Amino acid sequence: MDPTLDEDDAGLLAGSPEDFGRFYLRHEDAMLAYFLRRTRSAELAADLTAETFAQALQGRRGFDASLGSARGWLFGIAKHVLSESIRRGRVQDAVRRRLGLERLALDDDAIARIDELTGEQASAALRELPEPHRQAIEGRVLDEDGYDELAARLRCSNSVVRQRVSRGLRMMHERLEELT
Amino acid sequence: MSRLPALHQQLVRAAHEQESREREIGALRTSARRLRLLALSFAGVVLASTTIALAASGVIPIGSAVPANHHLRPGVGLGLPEPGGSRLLPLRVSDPEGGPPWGMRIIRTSREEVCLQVGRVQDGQLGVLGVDGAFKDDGEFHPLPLDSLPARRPEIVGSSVNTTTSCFLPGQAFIGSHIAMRVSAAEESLGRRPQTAPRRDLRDVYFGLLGPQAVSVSYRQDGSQRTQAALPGAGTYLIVRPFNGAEVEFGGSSSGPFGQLAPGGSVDLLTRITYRLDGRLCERGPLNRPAHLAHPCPQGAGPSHRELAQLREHPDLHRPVHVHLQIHDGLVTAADVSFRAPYAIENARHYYSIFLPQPECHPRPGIPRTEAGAGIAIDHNAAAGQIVSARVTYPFAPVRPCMRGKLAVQVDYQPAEGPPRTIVGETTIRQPPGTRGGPHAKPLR
Repeated sequence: MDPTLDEDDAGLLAGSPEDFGRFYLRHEDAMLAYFLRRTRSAELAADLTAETFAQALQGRRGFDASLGSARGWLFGIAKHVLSESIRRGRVQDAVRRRLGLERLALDDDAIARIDELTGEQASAALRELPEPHRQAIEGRVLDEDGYDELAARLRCSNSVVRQRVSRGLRMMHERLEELT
Repeated sequence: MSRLPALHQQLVRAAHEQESREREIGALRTSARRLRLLALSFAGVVLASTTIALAASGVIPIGSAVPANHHLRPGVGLGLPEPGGSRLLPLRVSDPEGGPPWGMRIIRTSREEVCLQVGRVQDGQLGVLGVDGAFKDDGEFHPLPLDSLPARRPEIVGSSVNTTTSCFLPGQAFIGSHIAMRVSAAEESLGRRPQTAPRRDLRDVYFGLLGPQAVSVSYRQDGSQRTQAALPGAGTYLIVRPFNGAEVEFGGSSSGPFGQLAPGGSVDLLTRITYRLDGRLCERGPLNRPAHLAHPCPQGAGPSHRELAQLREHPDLHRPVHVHLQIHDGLVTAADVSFRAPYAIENARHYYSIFLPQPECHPRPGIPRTEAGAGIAIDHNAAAGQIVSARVTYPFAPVRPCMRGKLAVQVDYQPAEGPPRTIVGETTIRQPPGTRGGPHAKPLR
């Protein structure tokens, strides 16, 4: 991630309501894609995205740039929203309701715009990778996990994880070129 | 260009509302500080002497106990405190302005809830102080009896949140915070805080029960990293800080399995939890900052495909559900829902709930419907076969535009051991033409 963008993000979070709107626009696609990959439903992805940004709005004054990037912070909230929703068996919406955000009504165009993020070809290329490479890419690229965290989870060294991510991406790239 | 322009607009509008709320609170704090200064200047002898007595002696007269809550029932809400199921934890945290230290009590209830209650401690008792409006500012220490618990979980009673007690189910780790809590530790409703209190009389209180694997918690204060050892056994901790003023919310909580819970939520101070797992020390940081940990704990596998699928798929018992609408002056004020309980409910580990799904306006073949909607939990025990009823207020207020006054009412059963949730039954209700779904809604054509 570009460090300048990190600084911008922190500024946008601490800034005016319009700045928060810009922060939303900057990360909207990433959030929708993150939830879309996990739920395979545009409306579910939209609801989870709405709750994530509602929580980000609520907690933005507590964001501390010295402890990590705003994008990472946002993904942390997203993971929390998803795991809480799974734990409760339904989409979490408490903060959205507290902030008075209305339920999203998606029309066909909106659903199509979200579905564009599915990246079917990329997903197919990812699925075709050997399991260790797929896990490494999912963790690092899709979930934005740190290499240390991934290494602990996958029970291998930091450098092995880096190698798997790098090789996996190269294999995906080659496969996508074949497909197109 | 946004893919969800409506969400973008709503977030900007909510950010504007947040900003004006912050301004309003800032102005109220300023005026409250001015009033306090005036009071001290002209007639501050009594106020000042109370504060000094608190700060200097550390021991204040014992006053009457906090009144018991006569609404407690063994099979309803949180239930009654279990005899012998409560203890004051040996945690003592000094207050920034002195006086009796802060402490915490663990209470187990008849509905198998575990509650953490925060307060001030004197003579081995948890209590509240008669200052800042509590107990008519009598300057005394008021012990909290066990039956002063709130009757229900805070999220169920809506805006009247009890500020001193947090409850969760046994076997879970729990992290909580009370932002802008009164220095008296007296309970009060959410709506009264923090606008009515001078800033110096407010505290941010962070606490938790992390389980036997927890070793310590770390957090940032005044630019440096601090660590507090978790109490061996239960793994509890308590941190009390002056109100930092940056937060306008009232606290939050999160829970999860022992040994796996990481700092999280938008209102959490912790930067790290250190656990001892399989004999080795390791750390969990907030989900967003794993890279700062020297020895990260192994991560769980994350949600499985099965768990993700359970967000959308549930068994359905197809039992009858009855609904009676309450209509007053053309306004649909409530829906009274009743059904025969297929399973007995003996504690808070499992429950029935009423769910009003707001299905996708544009469902697509092959994709199961989403589970977005509004709902209430029915938080009382019930015998199998008993008729259970619950009231949903303004059922037609928050529906998607495409639903046009038609609403599904679903009764769910949430089993004790997590998903899958079971649908007991479902019915559809229609808003009568000419009635309004909410106080500000237009009549339905």
